[in-house]
Amino acid sequence: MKSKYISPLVCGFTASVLTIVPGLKEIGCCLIIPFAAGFSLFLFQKANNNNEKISVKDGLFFGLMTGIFSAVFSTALEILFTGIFHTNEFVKSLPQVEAMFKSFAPQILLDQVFQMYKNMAKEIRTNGFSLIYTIYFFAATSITSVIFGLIGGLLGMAFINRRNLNSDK
Amino acid sequence: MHYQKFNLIFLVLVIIWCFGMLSPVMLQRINSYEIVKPFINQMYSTVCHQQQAKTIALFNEEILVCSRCAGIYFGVLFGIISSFFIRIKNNLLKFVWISSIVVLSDVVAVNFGFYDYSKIIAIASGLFFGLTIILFLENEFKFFNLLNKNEK
Repeated sequence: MKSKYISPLVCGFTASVLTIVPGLKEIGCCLIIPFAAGFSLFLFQKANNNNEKISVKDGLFFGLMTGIFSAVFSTALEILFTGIFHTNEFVKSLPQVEAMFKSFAPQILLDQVFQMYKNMAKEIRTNGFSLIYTIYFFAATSITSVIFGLIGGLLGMAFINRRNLNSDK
Repeated sequence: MHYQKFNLIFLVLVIIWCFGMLSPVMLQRINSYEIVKPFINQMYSTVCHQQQAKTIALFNEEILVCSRCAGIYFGVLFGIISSFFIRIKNNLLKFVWISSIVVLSDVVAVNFGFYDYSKIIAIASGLFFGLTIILFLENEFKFFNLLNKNEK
């Protein structure tokens, strides 16, 4: 029995590359992570020569793992590109947020959050790395990757079970 | 009973997701939203390219995903709501393939320059895809009795 972690690792890595590379992201869009999660189930069954019915538990497990691996690798790639270019989408979009922010009445909590954003951008511009930005990016990415991974796992399970049923007939 | 519970939970999650997608439009008058917007935007950018030219704008604010993604999410939402009222007994796999081919054809045609990107086509194809995929999933769950705790 091959490890249950290998195919989600491979598919999660591929999904992270596809979601980070701008040209490729346009084509797959929101289907990349669900497809990767479904494909990880398919690869696992192929690797084990197994045609048994996949349970919801397995579908969710593979989806979850693909989502987590995808988020981890996306964060790693983001750190790499930010380190190389000393900028990223967050830094580029900050002036827009600042313009909006200046039109508001001052509020202590919002001021503190915005100050944190500015510090993150400053660290990225000077050092090419910000720990708080890394945590921020991982948190945002992991929520979405896990949700879409779980959906992909369930869809992959449904497709594979149907395919196995049709091939048994 | 399991299916109704499952559907209800899924419906709530999809409504939250769609609300987040439309949050720039719905919460544009709330000051504190602007400060969390970069985080929410980052969340949605994980699963969408968010190109300005391909995004719908409502009341001068752009939503957080492209037209096709918006179509898919609304299709899923309509699919779940309709599954409370409609019972489909046929295998929907064919429709899933058809809707996938429609979406893929549009993506390929636009990227190869056969015609210009149309938000209406993108929304319509996404809607069809989202609707068929969720009804297919729902049907498969029932067919394979996947929510039965004594499965296997």
